[in-house]
Amino acid sequence: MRNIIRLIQKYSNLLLFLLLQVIALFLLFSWRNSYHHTIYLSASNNVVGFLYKTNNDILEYFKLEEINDELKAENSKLKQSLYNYVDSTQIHLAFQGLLDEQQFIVRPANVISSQFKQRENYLVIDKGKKDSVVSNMGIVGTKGVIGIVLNSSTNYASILPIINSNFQLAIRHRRSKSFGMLLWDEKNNWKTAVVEDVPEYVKVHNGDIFESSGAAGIFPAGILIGKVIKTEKIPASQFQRVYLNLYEDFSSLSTAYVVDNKYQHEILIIKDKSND
Amino acid sequence: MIEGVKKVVLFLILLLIQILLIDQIDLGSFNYYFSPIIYGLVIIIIYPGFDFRYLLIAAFIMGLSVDIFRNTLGLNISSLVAVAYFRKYILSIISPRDGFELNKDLNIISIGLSRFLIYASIMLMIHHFWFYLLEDFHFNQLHIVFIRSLFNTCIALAFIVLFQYLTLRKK
Repeated sequence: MRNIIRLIQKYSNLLLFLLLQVIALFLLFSWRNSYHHTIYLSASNNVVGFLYKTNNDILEYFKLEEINDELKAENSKLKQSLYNYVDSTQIHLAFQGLLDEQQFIVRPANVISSQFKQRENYLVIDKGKKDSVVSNMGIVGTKGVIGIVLNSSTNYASILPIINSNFQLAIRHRRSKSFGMLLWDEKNNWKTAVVEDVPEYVKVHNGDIFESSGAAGIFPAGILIGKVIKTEKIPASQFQRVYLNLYEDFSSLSTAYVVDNKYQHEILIIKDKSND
Repeated sequence: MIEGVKKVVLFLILLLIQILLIDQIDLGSFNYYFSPIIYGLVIIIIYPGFDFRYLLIAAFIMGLSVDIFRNTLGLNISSLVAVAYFRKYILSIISPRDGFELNKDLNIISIGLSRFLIYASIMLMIHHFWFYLLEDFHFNQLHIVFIRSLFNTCIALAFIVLFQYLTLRKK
């Protein structure tokens, strides 16, 4: 008996080592898939989870740009399918193959320079001829219409936004579908714009929405432009003037989508012929 | 007492570096050869006079806390306890003729760079080899496990020497 105790005393270090190893290996091989393992881990989850979450919160900042790009690409895809949406009145054309489902192509872009304080404001985006952006394409922002492509170089394109005194676009009143001409001058700030040539008989209320008409072939119909804040009758004429609050915030533009209408040239040809 | 608190803080710092920095680095297919284990540094540098049984238990607790974070219950415990156990034999192999000072931590200043490199590389090699062997848990690719632990030992050794230079210069 004494010999055994002496043996244990002599090899106590080795025995402790073996005991710890056995516990470790027992944990490794028997506990791994058991119920207790999950309990044990979920109990420790508060500390571990907090640490990993904090770490992730910090690292997320470095990935933001990448995430943004992915979101933009996804958004442009969604917008494209929205603009090419076939409603039930046209569905028979789609079945007969008469309707091209991809009339509008949407590409994401970044606004790299923007003005909103001048009389003639211009924007620049980072997509150009290389990405097949050419003049007369529409630019849509995250909330509504931004403007029209004026010129493009290989890598960049300049935009004529709504808030430029040279800007003109035929738009429509969402409820009555009656047309008007969207204009801007520096009396309006970058938040507002004017719609001229709206017939007097159209009842426009404050809060009504004006949207793109699709008539010029630049934008698909139905993209938001602005909300009515004030109407005013023009004396001695059949028209009224409508003041809009623009949806797009021109003081903080960063993301833009280029809308390319495949059949725009056809519309232009028809317009030229009817003008002759 | 203060020494003990210092060791605990050192271990926590190493643990954070291990799980938040080194385990997060993603080198694609090179990940196999880049997963160094550095938290064993505490066991490596602790002074030779430290009670052996306490060292084993301390290694067990440290391994357990790493395991909780890595979600590999038992793997880190086993390898770290093994390192703590084999430490005294390696110390006796590489000790100078008149032995180490029992109350001084082992680092590049107290025992010299070359001796520390030899000592730390053997310890790290044991740690990595034990770890990867247990992780794979078969012997038919022993040479690959060996090469893998050799690679990671070099990386961990570089890290540890750098870490020692950064933390010991102040004194």
